Amino acid sequence: MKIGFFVPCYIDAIHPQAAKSTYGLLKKLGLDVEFIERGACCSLPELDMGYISHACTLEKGIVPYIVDKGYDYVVVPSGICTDQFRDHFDGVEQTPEVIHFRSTVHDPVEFLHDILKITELPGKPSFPYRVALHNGCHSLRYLNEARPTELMIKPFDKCADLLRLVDGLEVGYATRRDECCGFGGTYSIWDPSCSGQQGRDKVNDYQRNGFRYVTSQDMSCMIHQQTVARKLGLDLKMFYITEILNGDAQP
Amino acid sequence: MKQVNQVKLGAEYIAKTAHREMHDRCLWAARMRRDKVAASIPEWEEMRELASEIKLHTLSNLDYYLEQFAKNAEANGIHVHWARNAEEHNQIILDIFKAHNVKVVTKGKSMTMDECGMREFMAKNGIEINEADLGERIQQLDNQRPSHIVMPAIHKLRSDVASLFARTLGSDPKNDDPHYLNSVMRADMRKKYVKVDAGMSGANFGIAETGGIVVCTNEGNADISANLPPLYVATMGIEKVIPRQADLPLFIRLLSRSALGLDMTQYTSHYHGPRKGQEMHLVILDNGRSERLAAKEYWPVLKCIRCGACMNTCPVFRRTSGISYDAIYMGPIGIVLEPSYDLYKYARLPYSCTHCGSCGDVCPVKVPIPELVFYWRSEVVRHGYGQPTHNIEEGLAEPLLKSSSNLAIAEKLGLWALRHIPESIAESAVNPWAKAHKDPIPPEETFRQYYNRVIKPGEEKNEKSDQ
Amino acid sequence: MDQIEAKNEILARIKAGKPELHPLPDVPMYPYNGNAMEDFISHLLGFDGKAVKFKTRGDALKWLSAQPEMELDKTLVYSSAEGVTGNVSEENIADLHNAHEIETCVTEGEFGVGEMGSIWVTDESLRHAACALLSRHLFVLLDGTKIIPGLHETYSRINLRQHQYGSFYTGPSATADIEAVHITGAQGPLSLTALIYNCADAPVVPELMVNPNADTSIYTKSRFDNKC
Repeated sequence: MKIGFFVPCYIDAIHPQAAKSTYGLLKKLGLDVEFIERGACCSLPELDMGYISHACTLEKGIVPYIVDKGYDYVVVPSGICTDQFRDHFDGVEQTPEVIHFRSTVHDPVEFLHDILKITELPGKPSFPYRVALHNGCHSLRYLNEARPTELMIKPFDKCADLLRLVDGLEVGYATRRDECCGFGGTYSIWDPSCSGQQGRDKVNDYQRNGFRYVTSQDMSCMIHQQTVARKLGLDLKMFYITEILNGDAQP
Repeated sequence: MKQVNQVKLGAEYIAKTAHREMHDRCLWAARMRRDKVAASIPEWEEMRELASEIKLHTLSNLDYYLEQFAKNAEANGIHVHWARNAEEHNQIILDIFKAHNVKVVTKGKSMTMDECGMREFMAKNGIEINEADLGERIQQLDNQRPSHIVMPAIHKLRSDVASLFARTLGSDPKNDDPHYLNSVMRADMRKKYVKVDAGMSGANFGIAETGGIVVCTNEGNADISANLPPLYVATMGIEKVIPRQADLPLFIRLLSRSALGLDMTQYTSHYHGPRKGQEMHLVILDNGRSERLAAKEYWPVLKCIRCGACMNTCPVFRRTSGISYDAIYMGPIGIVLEPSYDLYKYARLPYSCTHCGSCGDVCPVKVPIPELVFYWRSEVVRHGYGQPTHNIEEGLAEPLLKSSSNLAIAEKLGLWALRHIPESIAESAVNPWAKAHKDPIPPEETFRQYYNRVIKPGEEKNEKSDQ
Repeated sequence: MDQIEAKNEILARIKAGKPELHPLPDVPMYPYNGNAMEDFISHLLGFDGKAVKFKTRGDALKWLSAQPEMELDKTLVYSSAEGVTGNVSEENIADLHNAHEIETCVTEGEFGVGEMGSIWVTDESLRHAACALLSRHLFVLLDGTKIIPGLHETYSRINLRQHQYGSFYTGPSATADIEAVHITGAQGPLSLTALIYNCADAPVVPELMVNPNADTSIYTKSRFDNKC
């Protein structure tokens, strides 16, 4: 099983630990992982803003490096980028290779939970704290990694399942457990008032519930929330989920 | 013509802490009640799917159902009128009013009439229209559009209503008890009910099979408006028709539960003709709907039953209020509906969305709002109505993001800036991010650098030892 | 304005642009699995309605006649219910605007719905809907054997076309338009009481069931109109 490892731009530049921990965890599981060195942007920011032709250029640009390499799976440590590939990678010709790629690209939560179906974590990581789990909107409502509270279906939560494999960790949630934190990609730049208000409401919710640690499968939400919390001077520490799963999270 | 700037208007509402907190709390409570009542119905998700299917079917055969509806309605003694647009709608009703020498009218809530600017038109023609729904009346007295489909004045604090009523109805400005304010409204309206020449309302559903309309309200105002005066005029958008009586309970079971988290509206009323001695008119309105039906990308927007659930759950709407959308339809459904009326004017609205997707999940008829947001953004750009700042940003981003080497340079530049630009400059007004955020703490190296420094040499060594 | 032309143009536009035909699914008769009577009452109370159970219709009429809202020498009462006499004649309300003066209205419900606590009333049972809508206190006589568990079944037993006006009344009129504060008595009645007869398990002494958390802070007077 050959696995391509795609590192989104914002992870690479701002929170590379998310990539390091994911890569490390996949290696510890004994997998054949190849970093996609020439991978560039997944095109989400362009598509998100409605710039379809720009998005097409970007999509075409990465096909040779991410699609044509014949990976069995591609793992992307980011829910938003995974969803972009799976649900919106329409700007390129839908060859059998592209279709294969779109159906085998996963974020680490899906890959560990649904593909590898792991029941224990290598290295027996421990994190004996209450941790608030923030299911990012894309992972929640587009990748279906947990039951959104709006849907009247049987409850499930893949992130929580994985976090429970960590020794001593207690999974909790904010009171408004899956309300959007206001990141929204470029939204956080173009509407700083509302994005900021959503972010403040979210981190204050953690604070009221006595959390000091927060984790998510979407690092973009974490970067947003972490920098809002720092602006407010709140003692909250945010982790990407594999940082905890790989035993890299430092309290 | 100016474009509507929801971000700016929203920021004004966000700055009003007491208003924002009340608004957010009330609507979130409605969302929580909705979750609770929906959870009590085992077939909830199946019902949403069925309701969506029935709407899709009806829309895909709409000419047939409208004709059937109109034929049956006429057989029931209802005068049926057809209006291609808002102007015709208003003129038809004015003609009816003139023929009956109507001077004063009470009216139940109707988004469709708001869409036609009916009240303003009638005022110009000397006909006094009094909104009979408390929230709608508050907004009428304040010369402001409704801020929510089912709670028109929910963006106002009770103190706002107290001073408004004091100014317009002469009530005690110091008494802001909502019960008192309601009693002021009730007393004022009751004086009017006994004098009105005609009553008006919208319609939630039209049943093709039976030729009647259904109007759902809580206050009883629409029922009084319809049942008291000698003339009753209702308006219905062409998309409101459903095929059969047996379809109705499905929609009724979804509507109020989705809207307010209540099992039923207090008055769920069915009209199949005029009362004895009364005349009943129904105006069927197109106003761009048939055009929308022909648009293969967004015709499912016509499924909407105007419950407002998407507004209650929208994190942006709850914090910015419906007033900030400066449009007839607001919130998630508004940002995907208004651009179809006027793309330039409402070009910014589809950007007032974080893509959280919650609206799509609460919608009782599964209007694909999140997909439509993507669609409208691409239309805005395609027509050249994108914001200049967006154009520059996305234009610059394309070359930077398109190859790994360019991306690596961009990342290095960004990190250099994070490390070396002093906070005082980085957090100044030029950086919108800094309004709400600290800048991220720059890492020592990117993953790419780490890979080249640590992982790659290790892998090469392993490969050599393997050989 | 040429209505035929407008009609034809709208229909033609629809015909030209409508999407490919989607199939029409059947709506199943979803059952409601609760107890019809108990849930009817608890839902009605949830909407700030009131309810009393009686063994017979006669018991209901006897209880009703003893209520202060029925003191015919002091209050205007309109009744469209058989066996209940009011003091507002049909001639008096020939002009429906006089209905505004009515304090109490007594009428018949045709069905109750367990799922919501709603009562189905029609132009036939109400005779003058305006009286039910403008009165301050509404009493609805309801045969306990006609409480149907679910809404689908209820609709299957109604012929909508037979009624110019038919409505599910669910509690007294209400609003939550100011800061979402729940208020009973918006434009219509301040109270709605269901008198449910043919209840085998009715207590010997009739018991008025009310929602303990009901909105009771009703302003009965305002300086504009003491008949608020």
